[in-house]
Amino acid sequence: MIQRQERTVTVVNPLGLHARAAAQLVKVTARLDCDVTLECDGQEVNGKSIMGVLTLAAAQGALVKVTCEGEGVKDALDRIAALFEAGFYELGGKT
Amino acid sequence: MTGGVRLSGVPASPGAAVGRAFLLDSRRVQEPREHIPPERAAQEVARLHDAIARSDQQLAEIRGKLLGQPQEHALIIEAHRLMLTDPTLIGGAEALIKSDLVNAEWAVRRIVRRLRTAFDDIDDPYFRERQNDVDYVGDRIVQNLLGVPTELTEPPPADAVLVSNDLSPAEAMMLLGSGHRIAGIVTDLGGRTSHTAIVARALEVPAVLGCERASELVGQGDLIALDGTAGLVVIEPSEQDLAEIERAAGEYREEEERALATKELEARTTDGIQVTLRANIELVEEVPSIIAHGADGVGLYRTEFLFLNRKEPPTEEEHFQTYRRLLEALPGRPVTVRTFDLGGEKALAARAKPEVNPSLGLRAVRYCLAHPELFLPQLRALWRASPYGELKVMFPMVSGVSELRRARAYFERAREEVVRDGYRVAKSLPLGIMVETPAAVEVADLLAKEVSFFSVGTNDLIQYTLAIDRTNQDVAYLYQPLHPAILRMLGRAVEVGRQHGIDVALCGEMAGDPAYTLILLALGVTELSMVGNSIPRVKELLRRTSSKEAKELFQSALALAGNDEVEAYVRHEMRRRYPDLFAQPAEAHAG
Repeated sequence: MIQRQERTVTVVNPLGLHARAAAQLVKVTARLDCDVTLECDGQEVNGKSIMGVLTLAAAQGALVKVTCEGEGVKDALDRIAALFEAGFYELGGKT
Repeated sequence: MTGGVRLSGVPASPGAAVGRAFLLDSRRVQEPREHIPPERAAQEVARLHDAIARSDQQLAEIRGKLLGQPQEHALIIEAHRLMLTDPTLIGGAEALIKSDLVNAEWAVRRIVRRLRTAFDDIDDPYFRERQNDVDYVGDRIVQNLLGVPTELTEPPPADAVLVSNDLSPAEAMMLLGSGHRIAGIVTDLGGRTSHTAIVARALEVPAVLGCERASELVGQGDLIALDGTAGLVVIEPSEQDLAEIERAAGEYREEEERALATKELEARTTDGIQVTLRANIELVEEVPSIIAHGADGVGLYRTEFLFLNRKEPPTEEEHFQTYRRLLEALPGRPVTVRTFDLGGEKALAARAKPEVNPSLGLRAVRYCLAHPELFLPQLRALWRASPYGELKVMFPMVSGVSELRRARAYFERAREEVVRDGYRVAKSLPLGIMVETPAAVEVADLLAKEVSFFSVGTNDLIQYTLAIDRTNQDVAYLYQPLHPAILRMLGRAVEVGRQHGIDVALCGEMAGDPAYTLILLALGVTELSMVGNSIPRVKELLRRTSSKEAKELFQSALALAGNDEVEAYVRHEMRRRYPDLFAQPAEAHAG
């Protein structure tokens, strides 16, 4: 069933959507059955393209609108949002 | 006199060599541009996929070789692999082949150009620089389409001189990891502290870096002569050039042989004053070399290298593995690790904030205190490494007691934390400070009560005391290690240490310049830490002199009030008394 859903998430990790974070994101989105579009500051990119994600140059605090279109969009959005919320695991460690 | 083309660059790793150029063309490969008949489109698409698969395979291999290296390098390669399979790149190139009927090379180039322009208008330099990654990936695909190797995936032949525009961290690490020695390294870019320089020194391969257009002027297989001690490169050398380089190589070999012969000898003056000679290093891989040169442990292990050329800080685990390997490589020998001296011009690229006056800005221990998220993992790692050898820890650029106490509080907190986390740690660790600000010298007596050793960093002490920036050509001549103000400060630091019963070492460049050895001896310095290959000459000088000779030279020098004269007088006297140790080209730099 083709569906379309969107959700706005916040970049919480200090380094923003830098290479490591973008790589983690793309590793997840690339396997999704639906299309993923990210929009930040009026710029829209393919969420499965690491180069696209990097050109957003999204810093900490930036708002990113994630749109999923296709199959399993709710689950896809949940997984993407969880990555953003976890700061792409950049904040890990005990200190 | 006719000769080959002479180029000069940064003398980054000593020694001289002659070999055939192994030219690594890391610059853009010119791709053939062809229009194709429609029936060939499917074939071109297949070539594209094939080249991408091969590129990915190569990156996977490089990634595999990086195991055990800082994770950052692996992450860059992971990002490149994701770019290779980026749908906008593959899809875009495929579409161009089919719609515009162009060959795969041209299609890749066009799509890469389009993709890279998307980065043009980004303000943040970190994100804008990802353009280079896009180019890198595009280059690799085109190279694979053409079947041209342009990246070093295995070491060149042992008798080759590697010539390149630059070496990537992955390439430098590959050379280091292979432990394979080549004849020499010449690059257009890079300086003494670049990855390439550090790796070349660790491998004891002569290197001249920052040699501007070398990779353009050199042809594949050209005969190259280089002198990494003088920073000279000669392309297609004449007989005369060859004789010159061979002489330099001979001198270096002789010096090395002498060095190896002095390895076991004690650094003791004729009247029995014992001086401890240690090495300044930044890579564990340098350990065999410093031991061969007779170092009694490490007097300064710089940890900035862990932070170099990366966007994200090293993890506690990376710190720990590094220190543990270092300590295990030097059983029974003291190793002094300096917590990172970042800030100023050396900050992490992603964190760098331009400062008007970086050497007076947020750097060294101040930076550590401002960034506990970077400082604590290092301190925890040091404690975790403490059972593996004779570790000592010092803080850079402390300017007063409060700063020391704040840093020490973190040091103690780190110990409590790792103990709580169940790690085995040493009961205590000798804690010291770098004395490198005039303020620290002024309050040395107060600081001495709270630390177990001082290490005087003369480079910064001279800059701050004489108020000169040595990189500023207009005032660089004022960088005078023997300025009476400096001599008084050194004397004071040593005296305070003696009164309080703590060790005082000297670890600036001054320590490794034999022209200053007698003066330092007269000042009462009994521990010097220097670049490994300076040790033999300093040791030989110590073995031939006496504290009496040193004191007399010192007195005569101090009698000259003019700061210019002191330097000239001492250099002249040293050359007169020890002519064989001060042969012209081997003369160390003045600062």
